[in-house]
Amino acid sequence: MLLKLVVADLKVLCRDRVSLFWALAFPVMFIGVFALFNMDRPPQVELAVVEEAPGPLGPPLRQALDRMELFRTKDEASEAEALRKLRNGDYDLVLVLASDQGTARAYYSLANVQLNQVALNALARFFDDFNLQAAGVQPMVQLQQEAVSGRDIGYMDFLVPGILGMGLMQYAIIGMATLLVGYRAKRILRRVQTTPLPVSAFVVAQVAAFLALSLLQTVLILGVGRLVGAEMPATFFWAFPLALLGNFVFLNVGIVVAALASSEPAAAGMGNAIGLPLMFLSGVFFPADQLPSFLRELVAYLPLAPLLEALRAVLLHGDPLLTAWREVLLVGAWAVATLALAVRAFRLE
Amino acid sequence: MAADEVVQVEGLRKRYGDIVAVDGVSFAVGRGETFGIVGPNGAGKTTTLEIIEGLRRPDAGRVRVLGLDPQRQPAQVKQRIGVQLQASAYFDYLTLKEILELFGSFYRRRLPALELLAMVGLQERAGALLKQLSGGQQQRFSLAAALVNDPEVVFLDEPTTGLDPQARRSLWELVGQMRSQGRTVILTTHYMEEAQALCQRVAIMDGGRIVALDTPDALVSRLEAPFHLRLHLERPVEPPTLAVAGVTKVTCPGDGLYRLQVRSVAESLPLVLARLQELEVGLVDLAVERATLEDVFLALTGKELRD
Repeated sequence: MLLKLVVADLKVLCRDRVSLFWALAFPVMFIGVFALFNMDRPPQVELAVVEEAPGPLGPPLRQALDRMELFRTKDEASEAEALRKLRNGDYDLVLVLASDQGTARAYYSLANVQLNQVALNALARFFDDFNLQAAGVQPMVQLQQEAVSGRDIGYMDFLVPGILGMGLMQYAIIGMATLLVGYRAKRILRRVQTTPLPVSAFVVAQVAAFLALSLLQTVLILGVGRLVGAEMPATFFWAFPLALLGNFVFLNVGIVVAALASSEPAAAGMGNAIGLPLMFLSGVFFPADQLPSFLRELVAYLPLAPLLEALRAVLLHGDPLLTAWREVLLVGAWAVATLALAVRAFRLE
Repeated sequence: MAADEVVQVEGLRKRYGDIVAVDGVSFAVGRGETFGIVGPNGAGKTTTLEIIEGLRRPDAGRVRVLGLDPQRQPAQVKQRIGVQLQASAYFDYLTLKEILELFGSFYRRRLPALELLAMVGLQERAGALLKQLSGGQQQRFSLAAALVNDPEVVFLDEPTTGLDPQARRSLWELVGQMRSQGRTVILTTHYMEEAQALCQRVAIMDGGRIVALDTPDALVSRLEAPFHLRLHLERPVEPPTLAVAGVTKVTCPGDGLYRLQVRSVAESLPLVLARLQELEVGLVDLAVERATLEDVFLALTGKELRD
């Protein structure tokens, strides 16, 4: 009896193309848009090289600069023209090789101080190395650099669990809230009350349908994440029970919102008023480290941040679920609390 | 309890805050009867119905449906009744057939969806969504949905409100069909002609109370003047000149048009004709009508039923 109801609820959810778009396509689009930005690409400095007079040092210097990934190097014939473009922002740095071949002048603009700091340091080191090499000196100590993280973590690895949490939250709150308000307005809940089926069973089936859909949401988001280059460690399957738990919390929130809202637009607005701040404060797109500490500590106790933390443990770091036991416990506590609230707040009319 | 009484209501009371919605309502409905509760909006019809269906708890009073208490044995009562709620809708994204099958799955006993749709003339639309139906078709569908469990008692709350006359007629036929299937039907309406056409007995409600309860005929016969003479005269006359013996009221709804409420046609009609001859006024048209429940309501409450 209940299974038939869950299937019918799933049909309703899947035939409502607009809601389904927000549930499935929207988070995926987010991933796609961020993938286009290619956040992992190192910064590049536009460098113009002006040779006052051709000399023997010119070509080897130019070749060595070309090999440096930091610089995108172009030649300019005239110093004046190069400086004009520097002021316009076409270049970040202009390097002038003096005609005596013994001096090089670097011009930089103050428009991008941080980048210039990096660029000037790199340039200074470049000339040191170049001088040493030209003098035929063998370096006494060779510095070798190696990253210690087990895996090379890219931005997509960080973003995909964030988007998963965001998608689970938004669709659960707004989807559930607007659906219930609609059912209430159409008196479907009252109509169910005239049948032997308890209204509570009707709502439980609705929750089950949303939970089933959240698994599909998770498959889709992780799948697209994989396509744009996010790694999937062996612990990724823990994302599914976490998705169910997180979804359950936000479905309860949706039921509470439905009880407070008088119309479908009001429910959507109220859902966004809860979801959007959580989304920006909980570290969906960027680590929340930059927040003022009181806010960070507060948000850490709201349901989305610990959910994201746990999702990143299993998706980003490849840790077993138990390493995030505190976060899981916190989300679990929210599940119990929001369920109690939802049961109290639910209304038929 | 009398064996043939499927619904019994005694001393029902329900208040919402300061407003008394139902104020001591009692009646009983026999098996196979079509029973109407009529009255204006806010008379307490819907609340009465919802208490009987077990959706609301009364403040006082006793309700039995098929011998069961809807508060104590709600599931058993709900298995055997069918309900059409006022202005209720169904799922936007399920087809008619899917909705009926879904609601059928809530019951132990159920009728096949296609059979139900055929019953209300919608078998061709089994795969349609509700929003693709006309208002009359939607209302017919909601009657079908009230029958999914093959109920013994059917409650219809204002089944024809907002429908055009043709759709209303088609719905009346369906209600008649329910009666011929042996179901007990309890319906509310604020259309008196509907109660008169459909119901064997009618309870007239006003302000939370039943002000009269009987067959439509008996209610009309109880009026002081249960007949109307409608006259169309060649030229206007002073209305009081038409008030011959047995006439309780003369109204003038239009130019040369008069409506006389009379105790007895046999008593007053010859006198009216004689008066017209005295006045030397020609008669264009004459009609004799029986008073309606509308007049009964007006006489009992001093109010027009519809504003």
